[in-house]
Amino acid sequence: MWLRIDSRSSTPMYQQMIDEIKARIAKGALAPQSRLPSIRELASDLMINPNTIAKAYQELEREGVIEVIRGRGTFVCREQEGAGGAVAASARAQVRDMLTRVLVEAHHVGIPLADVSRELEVLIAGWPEERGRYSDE
Amino acid sequence: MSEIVVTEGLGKQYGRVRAVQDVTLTVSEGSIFGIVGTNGAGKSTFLSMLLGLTRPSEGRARVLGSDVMDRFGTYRERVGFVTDQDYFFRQFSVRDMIAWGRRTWPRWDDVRCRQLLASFELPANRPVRSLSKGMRVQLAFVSALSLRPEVLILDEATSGLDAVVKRQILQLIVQEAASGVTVVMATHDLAGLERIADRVAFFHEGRVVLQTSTEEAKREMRRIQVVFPGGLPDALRTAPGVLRVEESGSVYNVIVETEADKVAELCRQHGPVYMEELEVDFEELFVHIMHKEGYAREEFLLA
Amino acid sequence: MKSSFLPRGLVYKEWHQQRWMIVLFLIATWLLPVFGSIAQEFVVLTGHVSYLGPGLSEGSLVWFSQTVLVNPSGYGIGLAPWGAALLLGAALWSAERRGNNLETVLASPVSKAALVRVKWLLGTATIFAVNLPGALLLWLEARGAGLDVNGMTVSADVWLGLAARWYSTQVGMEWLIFSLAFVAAIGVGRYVMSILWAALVLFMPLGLTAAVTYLMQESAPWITHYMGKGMAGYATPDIQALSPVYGTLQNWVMTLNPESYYGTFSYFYMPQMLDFVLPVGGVLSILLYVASLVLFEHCEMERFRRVFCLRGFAMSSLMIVGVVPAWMLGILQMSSDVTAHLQSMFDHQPWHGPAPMLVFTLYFAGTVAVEVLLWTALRRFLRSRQARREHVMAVA
Repeated sequence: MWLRIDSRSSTPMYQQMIDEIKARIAKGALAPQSRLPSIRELASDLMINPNTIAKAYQELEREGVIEVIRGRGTFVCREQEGAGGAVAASARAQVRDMLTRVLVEAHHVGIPLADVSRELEVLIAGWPEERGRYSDE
Repeated sequence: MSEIVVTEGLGKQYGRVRAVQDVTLTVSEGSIFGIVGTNGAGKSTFLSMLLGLTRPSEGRARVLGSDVMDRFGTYRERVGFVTDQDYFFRQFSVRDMIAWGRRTWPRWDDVRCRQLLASFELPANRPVRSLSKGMRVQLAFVSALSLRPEVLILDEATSGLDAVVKRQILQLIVQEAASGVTVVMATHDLAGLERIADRVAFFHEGRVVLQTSTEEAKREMRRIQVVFPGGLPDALRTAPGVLRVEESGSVYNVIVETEADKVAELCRQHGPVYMEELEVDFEELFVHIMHKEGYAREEFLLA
Repeated sequence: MKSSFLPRGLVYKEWHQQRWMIVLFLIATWLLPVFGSIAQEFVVLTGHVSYLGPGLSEGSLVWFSQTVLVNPSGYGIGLAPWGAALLLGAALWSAERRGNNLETVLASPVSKAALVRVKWLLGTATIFAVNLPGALLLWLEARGAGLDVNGMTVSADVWLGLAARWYSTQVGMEWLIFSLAFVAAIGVGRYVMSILWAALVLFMPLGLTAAVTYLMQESAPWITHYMGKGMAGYATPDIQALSPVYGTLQNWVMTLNPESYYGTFSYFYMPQMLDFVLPVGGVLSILLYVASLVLFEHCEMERFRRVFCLRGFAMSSLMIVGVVPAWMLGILQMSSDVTAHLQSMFDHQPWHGPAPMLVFTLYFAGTVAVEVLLWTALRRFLRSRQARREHVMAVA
């Protein structure tokens, strides 16, 4: 698979994997219900410790991003359109946290909050196009 | 997870030289355990003791639950060993070595052996003496993996290999680990180790000077670059976890071995003019540890 | 934990590495019966009978085989298999001294003891097997037309008995020489050196004998020197005559090696003594095998590459290994001297009746007892040294 993992980054490798896989799904590069490589295949491809990959897969499964079907493999879950419940609530909290961090960072670098908001709107506006690029492939 | 390799105060003395001293470590099932250190740091002697080739002069070691000094060495039925030394019989051809392996290891897997031989395209009739370095390592891996090992002990198995063979071998190691084989490997390839190892022990002069998990190391190790025009506060210099401080003018590089967040917080409290947190990879950490142990002069190491 | 008595991998490896050495051994044992016979026939047919010396003119294949069976050591070519036995004993270890052979074996699931066992048993089996065709050939040759020797009719059973004796003496001597070379080569970590060292340990007593023989001969410098000072007459027989102890000692020293023992007994004393070569050689070989086990257990990997890969004491004991059997054979020689003396005192009929056998048996039992004591002491000493070293280590 085409995950980019940097062993030198201070972000743990399993976290990098989680981020990468989530990004691929969000951008549509990984369609719902598509099959992910096995731990063995992925470890061998990326030359990464299999336990690291297992950890990332476990975390992704716990978050409901992927599911493991015994004897068949690992698959991307269906999209969670407006999903409710505890998982959704915590996921929302997580997103809010990240946005807060963005605001703090913007403050320190000296970017007005209005500009941040505009940047975000531009990104959101361009999103369908971004997804489309991947699903065309 | 059970413990596959356990050593307690393991040591080996050759005359007056203490090649290995007081090594206590545990390798758990299915993990990849890296051993790094300078040449002559005792890595090979340590691995040789795990195989029962060298008799420990102090301490104990157990591999797969069996004492390494067990006279019959039955535990070696489940141990695959690869080294950059030529562990072959001089007069034997590739086929002879395989024939010997099939008769020697009771768990030998012929199908696996054929697959590996085919994938490496090893010439069966060539004498092992005439094989290239890469081919010899490949053959050693064919043997070590065909015996269906529970532990792989690798002593610089990838050193001196070209990029293609090296990648092939590393992939094999990772695949084996993914199927539950425990790997203990000594290597100089720190960048590779950083990706594949669960835990790493740094050897220096026969002792383990640092033992850490790769994840932990990522979290805990950092280089904090700070500018203090009035000099670095002493509290930072002596803070727990600080491995070394490099100075150039009023710019200080604080190398943190553990608890990087706490040290960073401490830095912030002292109000530096400028502060940046940078990653430290194994190679850099290794050099700093060696320097701290007085291995070589600083300007030489960090030139 | 269980462990295979003869691990298949080791048997395969040893056979693969030593098969040419075994073929060489086979050829060496065939030199005498086959090539000797052919040479003999050739000499007779071409009429060069004078080369054979006086009294040997009736020669034929049969004559040759008969002679060899009665007196196996009569030909220098008979020494070839002994040399081959020495080479095999040393080669089994020297093959391990190239590259990382020994490390490769010991990293596999076999014990050090199993390695020694497989090697020694392979050598032993080789010796028993390669001599069979030669013995068979000699027997067939002798039986073929040799029922009549010097006008006397000899029963076919006698030829079978003689062929069996030829076989047992060959095997006994080769086995002993092989085991001596085998134990000696364990202590040496280099390829060529291990063969040289085995030869040295084995033939050191021979050198000693040669030196003594030289000094005792009537033309030796020191004797001629004293003769020149008017002490003429004090040549070897006279010196021996001075004291029976001196004569016995001299005989002992002179038989301090397998070769001279073998020659002396088969020529001048009694051919029946040859029947003891296999039992005595076998017992000694087994003792040497036990010594090999102990010594190899003390051979540590970090010393594998040294010229002398055993520690000082074990190494010097290897020097003794060469002397001990020779010393034992010397005792046999003395026992025969004494029995001859006793015999001549009683009935002037040397080498008959139960008396020599009794004395021989007593000496034999006594010598074996001394050997066992010696090795027990050696092992205990090695253990106590080990314990002391561990104690020192624990204190430090």
